[in-house]
Amino acid sequence: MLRTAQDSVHLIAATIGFVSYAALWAGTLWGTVLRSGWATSRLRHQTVHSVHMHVILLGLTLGIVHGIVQMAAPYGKVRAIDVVVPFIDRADPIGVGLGVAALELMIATALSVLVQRRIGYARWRALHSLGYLSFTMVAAHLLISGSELYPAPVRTAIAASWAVVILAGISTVTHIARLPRAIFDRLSPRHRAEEVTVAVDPGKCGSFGFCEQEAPAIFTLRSDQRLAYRSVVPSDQAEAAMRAAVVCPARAIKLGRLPATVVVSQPGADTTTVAPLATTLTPHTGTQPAVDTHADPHAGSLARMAAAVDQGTGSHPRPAMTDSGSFAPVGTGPQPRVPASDTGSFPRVGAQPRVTDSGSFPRVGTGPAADPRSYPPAAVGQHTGPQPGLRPVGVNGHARPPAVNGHGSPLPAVGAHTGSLPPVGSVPTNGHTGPQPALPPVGPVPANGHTGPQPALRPVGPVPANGHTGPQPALRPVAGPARAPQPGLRSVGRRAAADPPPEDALPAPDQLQDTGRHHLPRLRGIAGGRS
Amino acid sequence: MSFLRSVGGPAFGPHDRIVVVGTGAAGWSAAGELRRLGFAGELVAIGAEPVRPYDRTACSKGLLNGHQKPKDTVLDLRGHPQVSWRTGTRVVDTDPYGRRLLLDTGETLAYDGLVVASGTKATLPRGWPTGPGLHMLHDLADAKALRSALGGAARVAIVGGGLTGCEVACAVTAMARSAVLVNSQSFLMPRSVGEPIGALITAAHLASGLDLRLGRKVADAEPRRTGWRLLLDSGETVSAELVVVTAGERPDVDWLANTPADISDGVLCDASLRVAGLDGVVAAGSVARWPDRRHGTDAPRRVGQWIMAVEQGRAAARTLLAGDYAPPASLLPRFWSDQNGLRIEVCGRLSDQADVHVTELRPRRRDTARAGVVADYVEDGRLVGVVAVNAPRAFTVACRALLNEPVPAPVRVTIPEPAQFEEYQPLRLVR
Repeated sequence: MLRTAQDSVHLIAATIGFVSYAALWAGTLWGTVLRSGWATSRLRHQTVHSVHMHVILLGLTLGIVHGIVQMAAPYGKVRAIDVVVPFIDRADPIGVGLGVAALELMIATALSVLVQRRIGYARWRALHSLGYLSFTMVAAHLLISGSELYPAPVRTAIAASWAVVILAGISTVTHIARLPRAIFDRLSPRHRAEEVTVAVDPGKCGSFGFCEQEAPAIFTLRSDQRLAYRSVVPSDQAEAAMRAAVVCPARAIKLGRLPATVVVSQPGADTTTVAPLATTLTPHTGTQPAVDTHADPHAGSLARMAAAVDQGTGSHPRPAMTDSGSFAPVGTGPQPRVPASDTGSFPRVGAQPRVTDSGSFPRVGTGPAADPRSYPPAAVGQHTGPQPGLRPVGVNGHARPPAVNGHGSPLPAVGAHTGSLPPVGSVPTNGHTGPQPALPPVGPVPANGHTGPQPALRPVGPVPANGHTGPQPALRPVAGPARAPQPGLRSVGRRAAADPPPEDALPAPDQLQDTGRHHLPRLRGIAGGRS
Repeated sequence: MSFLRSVGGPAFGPHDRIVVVGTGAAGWSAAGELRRLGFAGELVAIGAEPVRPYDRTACSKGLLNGHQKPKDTVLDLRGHPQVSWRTGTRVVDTDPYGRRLLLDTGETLAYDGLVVASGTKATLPRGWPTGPGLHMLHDLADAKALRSALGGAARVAIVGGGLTGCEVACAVTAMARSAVLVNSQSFLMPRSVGEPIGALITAAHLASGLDLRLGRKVADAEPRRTGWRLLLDSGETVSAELVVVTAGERPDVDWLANTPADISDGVLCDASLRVAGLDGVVAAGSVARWPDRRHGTDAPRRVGQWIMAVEQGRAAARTLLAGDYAPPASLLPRFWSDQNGLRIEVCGRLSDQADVHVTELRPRRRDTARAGVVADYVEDGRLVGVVAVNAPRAFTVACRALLNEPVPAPVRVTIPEPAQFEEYQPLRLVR
């Protein structure tokens, strides 16, 4: 059968068009591979990049040829202007127009590489993702005006190839890329919570090797400057993995399921006596008296931050957790007052007499009565309910005034002075030795809305009695050098209880030789360097 | 609990409040470490910047060239449960005896333990004028301002060829803007990487087309209608729309002025990062001047590096909880920089007395730095520091050797007497 010239031209043009579509499909798909970083563990980034570029260029070139060849047909329906300006073709305005527009859009997308540095990476990424749109238009062009596309399998194949590209493109979005792992984590058994998952972003990893310095059992910088790492590490190596994640220069290491120690309340504490920390964070329900004298200017940001930080019971931040703005003239005792004009500023330290450095805060053990921490726990439990208001007035001008609970009563004894009550016997004067009527306190104590646990009202003995203005009453001889460790039993007990873990668990020498490259069961590899 | 504490519990219990001043790397890691070690009391972190803790190193790197957005630099707070972050708040004054801080909001905040991690502030050299178009680069706000200003600028002058200056220059050239870098020395980054590698990096930057004015100082800077004109001491002038001054920084310790702490250059600490002269106060980060055993000398010094800040924050937290029996913090300084394809890594100390062995990984190549080069600093037969460019594998091996090396024997650190009380001399007789 003899073909007409028109048929021959059409055959050539259609063939070129199909080859062009195949090249564009492969190139776009390869681009998603480039984006997701999947191939960087197998191939060099530069190789992946140049394959993407060349395949796309081939497809675009063939696409241009496809358009020009259409004009070669005798008695052709396609004019020169039809292959330049979209949607003006007389026979098939939509189909041809889509093809023309897609080609031009794709050329523009490709050329945007040239201005990548000028417009910045993020904007260029957004511009470059127009490639998915233009590829969609190419597929639509095929389905609308392709004359060989009547059989259903062919149409299905075209549609499927388009769907593959779009799905691959969507899967490179960061949040969606994390989704499978998140779902898997949710469904995986509980014991995996003891393990720490490690994921290195191949697009960010710069192969600096700092992670191997910290955790050689997990990370290995191979001699070809790619990083191999374990994706799941046991919990005993979690510390090393965390250090590696912190020191990573490119911040490419992400850890799942951090084994953080969350200390919420004391174990076994009676919650009616000691307010657990969690209570202070529960949302404040009900009406609150507007006692908070300090409108916190950062309340909004703080709330947001606390909401992000909070893992536990509530999302409401503490209100301004500080004391009142100025020093309350608490000196109702015999000592001179802090001048009322002196609010808001500290007395000059240099102007006041002091003993040596350990004088102000007696160390534990220097005197039995001097340390508020050494009170027998019998004090705990006697002071529940509303603030007993046993203020150390007269002891120490700098003691914090008792918190006026700015939230009414619902918070049980927040900041109750458990363990931090001043010794009743040693409070000089002012007569407040018995159970106090709760509020208001004696001095003009500003309400401050403080709900946090009160720190120990510490200085009892040798502290300057009056806000550092009067003469120093406590000329207590300081025994021994200030910094010398306390000898005796206490040091043993304390060391045993409070010694931190050994300084840095450096890898053992045998780990140094064995980088684990050959033994790691679940190795992932990624290459270094970004484009 | 108080009873337990008196017979040997941790130094800080669930009723105590530890305040961390500074939300940079050191404060962030100190707060996390305190919680991780089981501190159950109240933990307040006060930061001057009104943002969440973030990765400050990104300010001269990814934030400028757009590879990172501010939200990408936010530090992970999952390991920091129940820390009250008070950002946008400054500490104005400290009362070390009442253990209280005075905030710029007028509030006072009592503390039982204090972590000084307030970091540094960028400063202009004396006599510099200020005005629009003149930028410093220290925090996130600076980086944002510079980034938005870079959008309309074609030519940027950078004063100071240290690490930050070089990174800014590389970020600017990566954005297809031209950069002029004025450096007073004849090679770049003299303090950070030492002379041999600094010279090689300078050659690599020159080969890649960076406009360097080496050995020049800025004699005068005057604002023009569209930018600035810098007059160099050699007589030539540099015109640019933007000027980035990366010339100096100063520890932010004004709020400790009324304490007996030595704040002449940062905060003087002992080997365990306890602030000398103050009880229950530790310091970490670029503000801490402490004698590192690993350094070999007793001279306290400050180190302003990211990894060091993180490790110091951890060590300071341990010290605070351990009380008097804290082990000394001996940490290995390490930092990195990625400048236009040059991956620079430094660890240890680059002392002037050390012998420097420079090894080229590919000796035939003319672009020595780009092809890979390692400089080992050897003192008395011991490796004390390593500088590597594009040689991460060799650097990692050397750095792990340094990390595994046993720390030298303890150095007796003399802590100066905290304060002078001439009028109370009789006190000493009592003792």
